[in-house]
Amino acid sequence: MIETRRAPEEKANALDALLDRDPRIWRGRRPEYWRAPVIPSGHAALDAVLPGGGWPVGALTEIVAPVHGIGELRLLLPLMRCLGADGRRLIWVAPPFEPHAPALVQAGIEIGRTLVLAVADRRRDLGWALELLLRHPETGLVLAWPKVLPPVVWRRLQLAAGEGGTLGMLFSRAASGGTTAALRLGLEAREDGIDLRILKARGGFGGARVRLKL
Amino acid sequence: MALACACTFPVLPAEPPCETPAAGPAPLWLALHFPDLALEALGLPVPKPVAISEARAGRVRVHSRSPAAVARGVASGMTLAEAHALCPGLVAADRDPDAERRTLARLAERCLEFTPWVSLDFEATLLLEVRGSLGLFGGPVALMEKARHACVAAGHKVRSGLAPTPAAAWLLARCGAAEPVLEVGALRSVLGDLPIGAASLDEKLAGRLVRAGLRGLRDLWRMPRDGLARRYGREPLWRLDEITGSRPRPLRQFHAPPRFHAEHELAMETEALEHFFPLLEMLLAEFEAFLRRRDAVASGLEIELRHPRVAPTRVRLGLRRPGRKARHFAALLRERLERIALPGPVRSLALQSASLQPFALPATDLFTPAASSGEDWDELLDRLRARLGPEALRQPAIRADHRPERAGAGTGPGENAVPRAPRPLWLLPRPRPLSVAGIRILPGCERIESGWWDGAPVRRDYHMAVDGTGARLWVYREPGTAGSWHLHGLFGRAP
Repeated sequence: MIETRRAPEEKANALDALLDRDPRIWRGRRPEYWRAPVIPSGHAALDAVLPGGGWPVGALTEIVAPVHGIGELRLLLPLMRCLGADGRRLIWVAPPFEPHAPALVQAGIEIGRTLVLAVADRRRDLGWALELLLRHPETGLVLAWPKVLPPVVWRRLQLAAGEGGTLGMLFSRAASGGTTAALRLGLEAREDGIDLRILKARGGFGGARVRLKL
Repeated sequence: MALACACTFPVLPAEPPCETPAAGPAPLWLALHFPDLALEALGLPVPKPVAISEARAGRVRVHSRSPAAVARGVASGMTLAEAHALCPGLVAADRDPDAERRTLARLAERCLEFTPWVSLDFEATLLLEVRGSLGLFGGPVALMEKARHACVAAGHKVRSGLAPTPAAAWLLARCGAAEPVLEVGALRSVLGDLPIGAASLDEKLAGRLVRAGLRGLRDLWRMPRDGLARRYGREPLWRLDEITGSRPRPLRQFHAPPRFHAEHELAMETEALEHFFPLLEMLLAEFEAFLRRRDAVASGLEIELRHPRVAPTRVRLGLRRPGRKARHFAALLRERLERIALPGPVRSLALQSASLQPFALPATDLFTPAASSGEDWDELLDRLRARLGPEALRQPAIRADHRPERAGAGTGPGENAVPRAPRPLWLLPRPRPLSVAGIRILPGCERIESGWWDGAPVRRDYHMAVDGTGARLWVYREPGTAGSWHLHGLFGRAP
């Protein structure tokens, strides 16, 4: 009853305020309203198509790459450098191979703040360890290679990342249907770089394609 | 009541107890000298020829050596290069003073059963004040034998000496077993034959004295004191007076480090963690109170769950950063206990501390946000390690080695050792044989040839290659042959 008595322009202002405040409300093709914090990806072409202009902070990103070693790590090197310079931690959880320390140093990553966590029993411990790491405020970036992750765990990790203000990058071989990742990217190898397709983006639209020279 | 009446207390003497220490019995010192302490502290294999080296006067010299090395002619004081020349299979290790101190402290704790007064002030030696213990242990000779046995049982070679002054006891012990000397008056005649070099004098000064014809301590005692002091300084006089006790040398007393041990019986035997964990939390709270009283932190603890008829379950907890919060200990122990299958119901709990350290306040910075203090981070790593095992966490580090499989397996960061040639971000744990069908090998090659000296020689020509899916590979084969290719790493993209 109270709302009906308000002036129409006041109502419109309240609505705008609400839309400004809550990034979860979907607004169609109006990306300029996206206010969630991001970190520039370091690739100008990619920043142009990502909502907000960078990797979403406090959220999960799923990167779908059919094979290892096509450039999925080089894509993230600028981000790792940026977070390392801020003094935050980089954690590699259950990587498929050994990250090679000399190559990391060559790429300018501070290995003193890098940790590699091996998980023997993925089914039992992986979700637990990821949640713990994502929730910690000192963590900057968690790179993880889970083979399977149930939807409940996805949601828990999404909440943990939001709470800790961390970035979680989860790599998978094939796009799984029901993930709650804020951003889902598909990678394909090309002769001189990678083809990157945005499969899903919170606060934007999927479908954009970028070719990155790495 | 009847019992209490029957016990009569001994009547105390009427005169007050005497207060001046000089009136008490003169002290008697038992010195236990460990000639091979440097060797024993490192725990090296004894049958092999081993030499412990230390840097002295700008050169690396042998400090002590194992019997096998002695048999080959290695003497202490010679340079390590000489020792290697005499004995080709010599195992050389650096001296570790910390380990020696720890070993000596452990021995001192063991010797506290003979006397409460132990000092570690002389090098590689325990000094025990044993005048009050002679009656209990059956005389000086029996006491000395018992103390020697205790040290030998702990696996140490020991020499002993008994004398009324610490310096004389130490001198006797160093120069090999002699008869115990019980009175100050007898010291000069027993020690007179010992060479001057034994009296811990400066090496140069001892040389000067020997050149002047003074060979034994007796010769020194015969010299006029003022003339000796004028010519050689006061040091030789001080040493002599310390030996005879006319110039007492103050010693520091050794105190055993505090330890915590507490036990709790359960009201009934139970296997359920929920039932006995509150009791464990209680023990941990006691432990925290104990640590706070002493302003100490613990670097770990051990709990023991005792079962009827079965061996107890022991859980040992180590911490990355020593702490004293019961809440943190409890969280770590819960992680561990939840994944242990108990062999039976628990009857009682015991908790004991690992080594305690004095508490040091973490250095804080006015401008750094509180979140990045690193303390919470270590707690997080402790939790991860408690659940995933101690090997699960690794920090990438660099070692100065050309072999790629070793270059990333260092223990500390040394950034100057980075190779100039591009390295792949992914390294395979071990090279995998690769069939070259569908793979394009790019020109440009890096030869790595190293390690012929340590039993893992590597001679490889590394190339970059692209496979059918677009992944960029790091492959190698042995140079000069048309041998098979091996895959060793994955690049992200053209580096």
